[in-house]
Amino acid sequence: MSSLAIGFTGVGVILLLIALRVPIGLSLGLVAFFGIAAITNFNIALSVLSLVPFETAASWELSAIPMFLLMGTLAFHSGLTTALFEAARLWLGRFPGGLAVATNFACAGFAAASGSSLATTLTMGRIALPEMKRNGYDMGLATGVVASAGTLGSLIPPSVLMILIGVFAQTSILKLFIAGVVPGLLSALAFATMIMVRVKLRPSLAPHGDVDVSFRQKLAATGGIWPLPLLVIGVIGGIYGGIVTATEAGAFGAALTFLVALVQGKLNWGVLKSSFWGALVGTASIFFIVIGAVLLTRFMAFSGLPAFLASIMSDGGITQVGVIVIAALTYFVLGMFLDPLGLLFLTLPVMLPVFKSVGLDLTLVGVLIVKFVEIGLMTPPVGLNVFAVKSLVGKEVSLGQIFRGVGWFLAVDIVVIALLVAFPEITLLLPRLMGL
Amino acid sequence: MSQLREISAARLLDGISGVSAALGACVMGLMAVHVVTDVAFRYFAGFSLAGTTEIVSRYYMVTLIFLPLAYVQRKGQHIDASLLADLLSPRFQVLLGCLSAALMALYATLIGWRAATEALRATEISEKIQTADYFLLAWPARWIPVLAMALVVAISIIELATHAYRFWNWKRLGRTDVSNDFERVTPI
Repeated sequence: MSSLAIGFTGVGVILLLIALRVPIGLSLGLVAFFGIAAITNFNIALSVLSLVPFETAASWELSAIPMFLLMGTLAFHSGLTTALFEAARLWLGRFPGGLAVATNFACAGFAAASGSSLATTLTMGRIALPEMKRNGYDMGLATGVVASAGTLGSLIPPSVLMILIGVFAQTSILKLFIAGVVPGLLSALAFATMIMVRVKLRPSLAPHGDVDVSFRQKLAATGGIWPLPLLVIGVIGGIYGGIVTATEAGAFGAALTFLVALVQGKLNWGVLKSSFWGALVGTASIFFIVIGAVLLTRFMAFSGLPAFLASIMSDGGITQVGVIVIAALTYFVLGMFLDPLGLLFLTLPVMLPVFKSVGLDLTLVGVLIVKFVEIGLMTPPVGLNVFAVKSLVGKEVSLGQIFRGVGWFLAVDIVVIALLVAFPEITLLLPRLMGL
Repeated sequence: MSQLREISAARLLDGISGVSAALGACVMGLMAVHVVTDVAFRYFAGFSLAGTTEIVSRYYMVTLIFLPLAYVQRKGQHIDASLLADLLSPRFQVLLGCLSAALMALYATLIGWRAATEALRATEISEKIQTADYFLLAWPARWIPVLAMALVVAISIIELATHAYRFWNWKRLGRTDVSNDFERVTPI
C-alpha cells in the first residue's frame, strides 16, 4: 500500500472507531501510531510516541486553556449568568420575543467570560428556559435560541477553540480573539433580528409579557452585571495593554473572576470545588484529544495526504472561495457526527496545509472554522448543544422540535458565514485597526 | 471471595484515581497563583519570577493533564460520539465497551512504556533545563505520565473485565444494568 493509501485508510478507520463509540482521542492517537508504523517502521512510530504526549502537554501556550476553563466555571458557579439574564430581560423584554432576544444577548455577554459553547448553552438554558416557558413561549423558539446563541461562546473571546486553532495554525491567538469580536456580535444581532421578525409575523410564538419596569429598576439590574465589563476589560485590555500575554490572560482572568466572586460574597467551598473539578475534567479530556491530534498531524505528514489534497486543489484551479466552500461542506457533513474537538482535530491536520497553499488569511480561516465547527453543534443527529438543551427540558420538548427551532438560527448562521466570506473585512478590520 | 477481592481492587483504583485527580486540581490552583504572581512582579516590581514558563509547562501542565486521565475514564467523561453505537443492541454495546477498554489499555501501555523509557534516560542524566536564572530539575516531571498511564492501564483492564463479564453472563444479569449514563460535561 502506498503512503497515501495508508493515510486515507487511517482516516477511514478513525471515523469507524469514533462511530463505535471509542473515545475520540484514543481513536486519533492509536490509529496515527499504527499508521506511522505502517508507512515507516515501528521504531520511528515508537520514537514519535516517546516525544509527542509529553511535549504536547508541557506547553506554555496551551496553559491558557485550563485557566480560561476555570474562569468560565468560576463565573458560572458564582452566579454571573443569573444577573446577566435578569438585566437583559428588563432592558429587552418589551421587544417582540423579548425573552428570547434577552437570552440571545445574555449568551453573548456570558461568552465574554466563558470560552466554551456548551457551557454557555447549559448555563443560560438553566435560567432562561423556565422563564420562557412560564411566559408561554413556543418551546421550539425557546430551546432554539438557547442552543444556538450558546455557540457565541466560542466566537466571542476568550475562546478555547481559538487558542487551539491558533496554536495549531501557528497564528496569533490575540489576533484571532480580536477577529472573533465583530463576527460574534454580528451573529448575535442577526439572531435577534430573526427572532423579532418571526415573532412580529407570528405573535403566538412569544406572548407579550408584563415588562412594565421603571428605568430605575433597569439601572439597578444593570448594576448587578458590573463584573462582566470588568472581566472583559481586564482580560482583553490586559492583553492589548501589554500587561499580560494572551497565555497569561487565562490565569489573570481566572484570578479576576475569583476576586469578583469573593467580593460579592459568593465564594464558598462548594462553588470552588465544582469550578475546579469542572475545569480539570474539561482540561484532561481536551488534552487527551489534542495529544491524539498531534500524533495524527505527524501521521498525515508522513502519508502526504494533505499535500495531495492541496495539489488537487491548486491543479484544479480552485479559488480561495472554492476552498472555503469545500471546507464548509466537509465541516457540515462531519459536524453532523463529530463533536467540536473531534471535528477540529480530524480536519486541521488535513486542511491547514490546504488553506495555506491557496494563500488564505489564517485569521479569517480560524474564525470561519469556529463558525463551521459551531454549526456542527446544532445539526442532527449529533448536535451537542441540542442534546444539552434536551437534557434541560426533559421529555417535555422532543428532539425534533428543538432541531426545528434551531433550523431558523442555522439559516441565519449560513447567511452570516456567507457575509464573512464575501467581506473578509468584517473579520479583519478590527484586528488591523488595533495594529495586530 | 474472588469477587470480593476484585471489587476491593476496583475500589482501591477508584480511590487512587480520585486522589490523583484532586492533586491535579490543586496544581491548577497553584498554576493560576504562580502565573498571576509572576505578572504582578513584572508589572509592579519590574522583574519576573525566573522559571515560571518552564515550571508551568513542565510540571503544572503535565500534572494537571495526565494525572486526572484515569479519573476521567472511570467517570465516563472522555469525549466520544455515539452515533452508530446507539443503533446497536444493548448487548453489542457492552461489546463495544470491551473494544474501547482494550484499545485504551493498549494505547496507555504504549504511551506509558515510551514515557518510562524517556523518564529513565532523563533520570540517568539527571535532566535539567535552563531558565533565565538557574537550571531547573526536569527529570522528575518525566515520571508523571508514567504513573498516570499505569493507572489508566489498570482501570482499563478492570473495565474490560467488567464488560466482558457482563457480555458473557448477559442472560443471567438481565439487560437492565448496561446503562452507562453519566452526566457528561463536554468542555467546548
